[in-house]
Amino acid sequence: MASHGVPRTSAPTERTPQAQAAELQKIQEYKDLVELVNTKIRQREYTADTLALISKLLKRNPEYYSIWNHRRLVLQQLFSDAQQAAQIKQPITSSNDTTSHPESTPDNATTDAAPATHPTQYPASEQIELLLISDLHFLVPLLREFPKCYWIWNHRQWLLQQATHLLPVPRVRRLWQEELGLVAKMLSMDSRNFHGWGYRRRVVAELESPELQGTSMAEDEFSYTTKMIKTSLSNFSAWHYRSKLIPRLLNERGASREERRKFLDSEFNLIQNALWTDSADQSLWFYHAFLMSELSTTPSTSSSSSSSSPSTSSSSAIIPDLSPTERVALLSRELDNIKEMLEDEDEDDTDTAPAERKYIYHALVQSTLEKQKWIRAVEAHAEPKAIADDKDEVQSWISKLRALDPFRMGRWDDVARQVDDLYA
Amino acid sequence: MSLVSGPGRGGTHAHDLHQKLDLFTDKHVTYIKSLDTRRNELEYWLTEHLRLNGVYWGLTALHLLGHPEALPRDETIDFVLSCLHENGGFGAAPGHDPHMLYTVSAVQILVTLDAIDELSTRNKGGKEKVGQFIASLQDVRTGSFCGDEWGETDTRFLYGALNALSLLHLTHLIDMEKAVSHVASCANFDGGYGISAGAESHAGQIFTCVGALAIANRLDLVDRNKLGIWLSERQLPNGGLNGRPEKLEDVCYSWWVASSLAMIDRLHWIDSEKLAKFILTCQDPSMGGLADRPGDMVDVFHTHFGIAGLSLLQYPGLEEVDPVYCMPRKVTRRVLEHR
Repeated sequence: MASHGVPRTSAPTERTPQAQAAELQKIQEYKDLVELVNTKIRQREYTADTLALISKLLKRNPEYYSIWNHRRLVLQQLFSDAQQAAQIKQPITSSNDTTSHPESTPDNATTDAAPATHPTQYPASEQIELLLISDLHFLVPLLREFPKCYWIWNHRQWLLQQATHLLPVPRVRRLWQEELGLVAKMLSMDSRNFHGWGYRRRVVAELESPELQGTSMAEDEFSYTTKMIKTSLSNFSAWHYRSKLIPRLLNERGASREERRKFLDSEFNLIQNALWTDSADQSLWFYHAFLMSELSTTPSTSSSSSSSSPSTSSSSAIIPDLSPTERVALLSRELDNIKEMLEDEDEDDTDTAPAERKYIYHALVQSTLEKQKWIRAVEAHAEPKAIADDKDEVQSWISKLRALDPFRMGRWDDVARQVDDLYA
Repeated sequence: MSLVSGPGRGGTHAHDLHQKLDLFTDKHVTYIKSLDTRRNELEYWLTEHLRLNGVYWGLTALHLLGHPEALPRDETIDFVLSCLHENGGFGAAPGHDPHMLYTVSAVQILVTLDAIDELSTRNKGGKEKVGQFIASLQDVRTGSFCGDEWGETDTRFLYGALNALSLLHLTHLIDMEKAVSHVASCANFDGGYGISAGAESHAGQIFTCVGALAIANRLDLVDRNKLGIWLSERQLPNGGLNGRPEKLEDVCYSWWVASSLAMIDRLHWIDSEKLAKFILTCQDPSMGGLADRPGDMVDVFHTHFGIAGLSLLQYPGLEEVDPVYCMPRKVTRRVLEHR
C-alpha cells in the first residue's frame, strides 16, 4: 500500500512553487512513458526496444501490474521469433509451438511429448535461455528494493515456468537450482518475508518434481529450518515450515514407531531449550502447542465435523498410533517440564515480564485439559479426589491469566467455562 | 479516487492518551471527498493501479460514516463502468488489464450503489458476463482461483470470487465444493490459513479463507478455538493488532483480525476498547484520514479499514459493517436474504 509502515515527510501542501513545478514536470515525464509503452503494446510492437521501455517504466513503478502483462506478451513474441528463426535455419518435422499454450494451464503436458535429448525438441533454446536469464537478472535489484511486491515475485515464477516449457531439463534444473541461492539471500535480508518463504516452497516443489527428474528435498529443507531457527528463535516462518515438513520427513525416512517417539522427544527438547532462552516469545509457544497437539488426537472441542474436511491440520502427524496411556504419560511429562519453568520465575520479581508467565500458565491450563480428557478415556471412573485437586490448580492458573493479561478477559472466561464443563 | 498518502499524518495531534479521543467524522468525509482532486501529485499517478480499489475503500468508509451521498453517484458508476473490459473483467482504471481484484471492487461498488442493473442497461452481457469472467479463473483441478489469465493463484482471489459471485447471485457458475476443499488445504497447525497450501498463517489470508468459508456456509471446518487463540494473540500492549507473530501493529489488521474473530464468534477474546483507542490515535484530527500507525502518513486504505474496524467494535455513530463482506450491513441485507 501507498504508505504502509513508512513515515513520509514533506506533504505536498508545504511545497514551494518551484518544487510543485518540478513535480508537474515529473508527472508529465511519467505519463509520457506510460503512454508510449501502452501505444507500443496497442500496436503490437512486441520488440526488444519495447521491452527496454517497459523495463524503464517498471523500475519506476513495479506495482503497475498491466505493464508486467505487457512484458510477458513481448517476451512470448521474442521467444516465438527466436524459434521461428531457428526453424527456418533447420527445418523440423514435428510441430512443437510451445508458446501457444494458454498461461492459465501452465504446468502440464508441454514438455513430455518427445525425449528431452531430441535436438529439435527445444528450438532456439540458447537464445531463449539468454532472454530468460536476462529477465531474471532484471528482477534482482527490483526484488531487493521492493521485496513485498507481489507482481515481481509473480513474474519471476512465470519466467521459470517458461523455462520449464522451452528448455531442456538439465538447463531448467540449473535455473531453478540457482533460485535457491537467491531466495536464501532474500531471507537473510528479511527472515520473515512470506513472499520469500512461499517462493522457496515453490522452487523446492519444482526441483522435486518428476518433470525435472527431482527427488525429495525434505531433509535439506528441514536442516534449513533448523539453521534459520538457530539464527533467530522467534522466526515463526521457520517453525511453521518445520511443522509442514515433519510428516513428510518421517514418512520418507520410513521411520519406525520408536524412531518417531525419539523424533518427538528431540523436537520437545529443542523447543524446551528455546523456551528456557526466551519464554516470552509467542512463536515458540505456538510451536510448543503444535507438539502438544500431537499428543491429543481430539482436535479442539469446537471443531465438530472435521471428519468431512480434507484439512491438513491433522494432529497425529508424528506418531499416528499413540495409546491413551502413552498420551497421559507424555502429557504429564510435559506438564512437569512447563511447571519447572514456572518455578524458575519468581512471582514477586517485578522484572519478570508478565507475558512470560502468561504463556506458561496458558500452556499449563491447555495441557491439563488435554490430559484430563485422556485420563477420562483411560479410566471411565477416575478418582474424584485427584480430579478435584487438579481443578483447583487449573482455576488458580486461570485467575493468574486474568490478572496477567486482562486484554483477553473474554478468552479466559470461555476457558473457565470449559473447565467447569469438563469437571462437572 | 486517489491513493495518494497524506497530506495529514496520523496521531500528530493526539499524543495524550488520557485526553478523550473522538472520531473526526467530518474531517474524514472531507478527506475522502478531496482525494480525486490531487492530480498535481506524482503519487496520484503512481497509484493508478489501485484506483478502483480506492473507490471501494472511500465509498465504503463514507457509507459507514453515515455520508453515503458524499461521492457523486452517477460519476462513480461511470468511472466503474469505464474500467470494464469486453471479457467481463474490470481493470484498476481505464486502460488497465482486467483482474480479479478490481472486478470484485467493481461489483462491491455497484452493489453498494444499488446499480448492478447498470451492467445490463449499458453493456452487453450484464452481470452474467462479469460472473463468467470470475468463474473462468477457477482452476478446475484444485478449486483455487487465479487473479487473471497469467495464472497467479492466491486465497485472496478465491475469497474475492466468492464475495462477488454471491453478491451477484451467480455462485452456481463455480465448483463451490472444490473451492471449499482448497481453502481447507490451506489450514495450518495454528488454526490459521495462508496464501496457498503449505504457506504460513497470515491475518489477511485468514480473513479471506474464513470469509470464503462463511460465504460457502462451511464455517464448521474452522478450528475456532485454535484460530481464536492465534488471532487474539495479535493484540499488542498498545491495543493495536499485528498480522503475524512478532510483527508491528497496523490499523488494517484491526479489520483482518477483528473481522475474522467476529466470524468465528470470538471478537470478545481481544480488548475492544483498547483497539478502538489505538485506531483513533491513528487519525489526523485536522486534515482527516487514518494512518497505519501513529506518526505515519494517512491514506484511504487505512482510513477505510480503520473505520470498518471501529464499526465492527460498535463504535457509536457508525453504520454497522458486515464482517464477511466488509460492506455496510444495510447493503448486504438488501442484496442477500440471509444476512
